[in-house]
Amino acid sequence: MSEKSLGLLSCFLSVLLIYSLRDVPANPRLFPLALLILLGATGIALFLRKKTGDRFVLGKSLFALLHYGLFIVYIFLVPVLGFPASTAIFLAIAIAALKYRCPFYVAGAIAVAAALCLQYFFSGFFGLPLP
Amino acid sequence: MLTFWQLVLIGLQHCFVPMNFLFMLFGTSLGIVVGALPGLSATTGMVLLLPLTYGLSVEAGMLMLAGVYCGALYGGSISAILMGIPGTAAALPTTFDGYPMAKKGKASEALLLGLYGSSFGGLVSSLVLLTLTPFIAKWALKFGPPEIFALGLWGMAVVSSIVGKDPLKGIFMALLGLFISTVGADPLEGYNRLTFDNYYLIGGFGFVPVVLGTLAIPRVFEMIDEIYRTGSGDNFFSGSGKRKYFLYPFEILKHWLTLLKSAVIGVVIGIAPAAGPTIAAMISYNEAKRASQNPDEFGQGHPDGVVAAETANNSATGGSLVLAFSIGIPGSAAAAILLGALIMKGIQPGPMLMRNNPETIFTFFVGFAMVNILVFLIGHFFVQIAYSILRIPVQILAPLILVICFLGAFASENSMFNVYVMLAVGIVAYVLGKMSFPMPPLILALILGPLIEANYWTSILISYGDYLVFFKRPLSAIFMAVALLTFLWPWISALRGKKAKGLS
Repeated sequence: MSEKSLGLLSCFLSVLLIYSLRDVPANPRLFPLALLILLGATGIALFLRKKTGDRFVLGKSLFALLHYGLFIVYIFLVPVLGFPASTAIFLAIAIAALKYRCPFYVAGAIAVAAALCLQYFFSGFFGLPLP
Repeated sequence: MLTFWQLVLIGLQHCFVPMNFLFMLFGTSLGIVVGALPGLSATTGMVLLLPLTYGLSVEAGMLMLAGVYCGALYGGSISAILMGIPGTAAALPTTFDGYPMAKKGKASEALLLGLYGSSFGGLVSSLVLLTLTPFIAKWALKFGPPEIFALGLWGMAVVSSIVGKDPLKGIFMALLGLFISTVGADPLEGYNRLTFDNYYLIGGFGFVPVVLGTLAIPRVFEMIDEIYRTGSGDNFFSGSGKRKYFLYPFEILKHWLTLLKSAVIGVVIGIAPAAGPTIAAMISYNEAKRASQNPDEFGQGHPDGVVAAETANNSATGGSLVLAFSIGIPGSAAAAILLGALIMKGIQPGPMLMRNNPETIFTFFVGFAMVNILVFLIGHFFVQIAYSILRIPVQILAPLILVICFLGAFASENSMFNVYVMLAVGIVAYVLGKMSFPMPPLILALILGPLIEANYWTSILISYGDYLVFFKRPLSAIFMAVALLTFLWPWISALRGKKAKGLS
């Protein structure tokens, strides 16, 4: 994705959102409307100006995005497996996938210890409800 | 009637009662830990401990809560420096130079500068709280909605100094942040805007998930990219540098001017209701950068950046309590919790609070100063623990940060919706970050957006629709002028530099 396509996208989204504000009364609409107009204008400026070379290349970030995918799977696993089990599994897989130089059982032990510590700290010590 | 010094002595006496002192120590330590955890704020820590105050004496309870408040504001700098993730909103400007310092192997120095600045700022503010509360209260009442609106604009004007090398991208991010802050019920009429019938969006986007998504998630991506690029990620923190246990007096005293200026900025801005430590830290950071002989080094690991931000955010703490203790109006969430603790003990806040309960209030004021000394003393211990985080291999640290972010996002409102917001914002922020869009303007706008909008409408309402109200009140007009000057300053100084070059 390049700056130009981002500029175009932001312009398009601004128009869509301005349209969605049509039923909102004048006073509550003022701030979001003004900001959307300015965002659209900035989008146009981004589209029209010379290329800067800053762009997002999917291929270069594939490794990081795959890990993010793993994290998303973990978040959806928490309600099913519970916090400690899913966290331990996620951490063990992530540590191993990130090529930490240790046998898998060590990564597993670190993962289980970290999961239990986090559970104790957040839930036991602070009394915060876990997901 | 007891004199001022007699009350101070009584306060000291109460603070050194072993039980009171122990709870103060406990509160301060817990505050530092809470502040260091992304997603948990000083307010969260205070709310968590509020039920505990039931069983304590009023002094012990208040001192414990003061410890959490000051400790958390300092603790926010720990994750800001080590991971570039502000533990609290007020630590946002600390990330600008603290994190680059950590990456250059100066983590120890940055953590200690943050500690010394925080303690100094906190101490100055507690002295102001102790000595000037009755006088400042009258002045603080001059801060009406137009003044807070103008102050918010001044905070936004600071964006011009943190936009980075490409002003258009910085302005785009600031506008995006302001726009995100308008989602949800409008502050005046409660009309839902851009919620698309989603129940969770009525309250707007949560601050915590957006901050975690914009600052923490891309940081983890950065670590993973580094591991992928180098095969190990061992050099992510440049070998973590030399460990320091304390700073020599000359090492901190060379920042004396920044310390003093930031403390004054923090105290003054802290008094304004709802403005608080975040705006103070931003304005102080901007002033340090403006006054520096090497402004280009800011954002790349300049020690003054850390000192300015940390001194100001802690020196705003006392100011934010002035109104609460003098006339019973809580100027911040923390002040509201402290007043709540007083009410729970049967003490009625209000203009008569200091007259009816001088001993309790002075114990709190003296304890507030002692808490900041405690932050300084036990902070050294926490600095050493925190420094060890850099020794954790990046391969373990990266997934661990993700899990902590998940917990932080969930815990902020006990909602999975916040987790989904964090996930979505994280991916957008990563893509934008790759295209060199700066994140700080977005966060700043997100903090100041609701403050600006709400106070704009209230000002218009109280002035019967007079749009010039912001220029008719002296304090507001001054803030507006300073905001304009702050916004234009980078261009003015660039113009002056060009002229000087042309002449030479």
